[in-house]
Amino acid sequence: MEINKILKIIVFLLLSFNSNAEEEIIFPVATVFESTSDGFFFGALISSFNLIFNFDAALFNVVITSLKVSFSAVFISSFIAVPLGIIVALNKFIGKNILMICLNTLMALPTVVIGLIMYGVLNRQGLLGDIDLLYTQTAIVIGLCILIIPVILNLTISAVYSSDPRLAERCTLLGATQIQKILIYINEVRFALMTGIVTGYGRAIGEVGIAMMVGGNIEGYTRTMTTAIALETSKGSFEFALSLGVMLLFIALLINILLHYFQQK
Amino acid sequence: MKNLYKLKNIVFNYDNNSFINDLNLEIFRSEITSFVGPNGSGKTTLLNILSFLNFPHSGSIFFNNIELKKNNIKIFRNKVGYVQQNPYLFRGTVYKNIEIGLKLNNVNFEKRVCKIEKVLSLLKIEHLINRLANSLSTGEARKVALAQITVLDPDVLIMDEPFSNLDKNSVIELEELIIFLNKEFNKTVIFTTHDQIQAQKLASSIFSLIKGRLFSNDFVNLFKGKFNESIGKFDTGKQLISIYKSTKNAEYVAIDPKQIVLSVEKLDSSMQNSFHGRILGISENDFNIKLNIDIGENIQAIITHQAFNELKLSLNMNVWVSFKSTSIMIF
Repeated sequence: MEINKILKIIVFLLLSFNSNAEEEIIFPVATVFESTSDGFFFGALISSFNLIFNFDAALFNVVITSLKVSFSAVFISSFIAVPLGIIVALNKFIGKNILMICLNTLMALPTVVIGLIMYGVLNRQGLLGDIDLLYTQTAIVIGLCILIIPVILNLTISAVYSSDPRLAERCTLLGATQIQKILIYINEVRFALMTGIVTGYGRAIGEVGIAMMVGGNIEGYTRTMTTAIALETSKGSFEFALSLGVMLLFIALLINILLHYFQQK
Repeated sequence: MKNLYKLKNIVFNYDNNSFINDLNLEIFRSEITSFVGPNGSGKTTLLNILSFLNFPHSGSIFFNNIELKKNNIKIFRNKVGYVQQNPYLFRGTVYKNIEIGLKLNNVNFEKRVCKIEKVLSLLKIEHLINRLANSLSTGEARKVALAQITVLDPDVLIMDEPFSNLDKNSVIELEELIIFLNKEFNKTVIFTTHDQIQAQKLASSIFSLIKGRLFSNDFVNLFKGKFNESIGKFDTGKQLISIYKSTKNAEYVAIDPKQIVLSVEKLDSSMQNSFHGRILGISENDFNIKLNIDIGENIQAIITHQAFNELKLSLNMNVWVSFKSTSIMIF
């Protein structure tokens, strides 16, 4: 019975690809799902595909906001964390062990705690209240950077530690400066570093606490996929929430396919 | 002759255990110097110190009569090129690997091209230029690593076990190259090996390194084993050797080749070690004759021309090899 329903969904999806893009595609949900209790999820799933394939403006606005803040955060965080991670891994200094413990702790930092602290700092009565950053995309980006810098930093350190120890010796023997060493390591262990960055990206795009608390979930401005999912579900608009969930999964899949492709190359 | 390196009371520890202890050494400019020793004797550690990769835990190093300090180590490193036993090659082509050192030292494009062409022709590796580094054989990788260093034109060329895992032709090529670099470009060459004959062939100064201790003696007959208490002899696995004291911790014994007595018949003497063997090789110089004899272990004896003529020795001849237990050094 279930298999039949899934097959019907696939047929409708295929039909939808062949249909004229100008026209709105409407899936005859009722014909596929006879009983409401049985068809709630699949019905919603088909409606969500409807929204996606019809390029629903509200939906894609949310997706673009999400991509914008998460990519910005990942770019800034990688720019800081990758070179810093290589420096930390390659050098011995007092307090390195304490730093490593702190970084490991920060890896498990709840997003809502970051959001809470940032709210405390950025609200009108807060330490940085005057700079008017609360409920802006910039605030979300800063929050996401705080969230993922420890992740990328830690994974960069691990990547360097697990690289060939002769590489560091070779760099030293060829007279590489600290900056040249960083560039050589970025080139030599780029796939391990890319995995760290993708992990950081996964954390950024999937978090909800920071975006909700310092972004304020403002429609068309700071509403990200995760905050929209939470809001739309509570509003009862499950189809919209589910379409965002599908988009979120699709983006994660796409990024991992790209990573896999580069690793194979 | 002017000394290039002077090492005084060098100590290097691994995990608080002294690995190189109170080492004193002088290496002369434009000479070929070899360190011979078994695996784990500290050869690589010493080369890491000589290439300024590692800083000793105590003692002082003078290079060109300037004392090495942590703040001037980078200037010293530029003078030295170090090819490790298993050199790391960067991702990309052989050309990029050779070019990287020049790039790091800010050499401009035209000069880079010119220098790389010269080194490729010197090492006869023009055919490898577009090959990916990870597709090279051990011998090819070692040549590329040597090119990577030689292109930087260092004063000193240091090589760790350069002849290991190479086929016969590659060994000959590398030997010729070392001699060429030394003679034509006045390079000081330092290399390690566990093969005494290889060292004798190339080096003008040979040092033996055993358990982190340096000996200026040329330990041709160095055998690893352990003291067998039940029979009271040192067991090399292939031969039992009487030593003058029972040392439970003995790991190596060395027999001075000049202390070995050869005879056609077994000698009736107080010498506790007497083995029957066969002559495998004979080589001579102005002062004496070296004989390689198989007594279960390969042993080298050095005798005078007079003794050689009197005994009428020849290749594959059976001889008796005798030496006193007091002529054995124990480590």
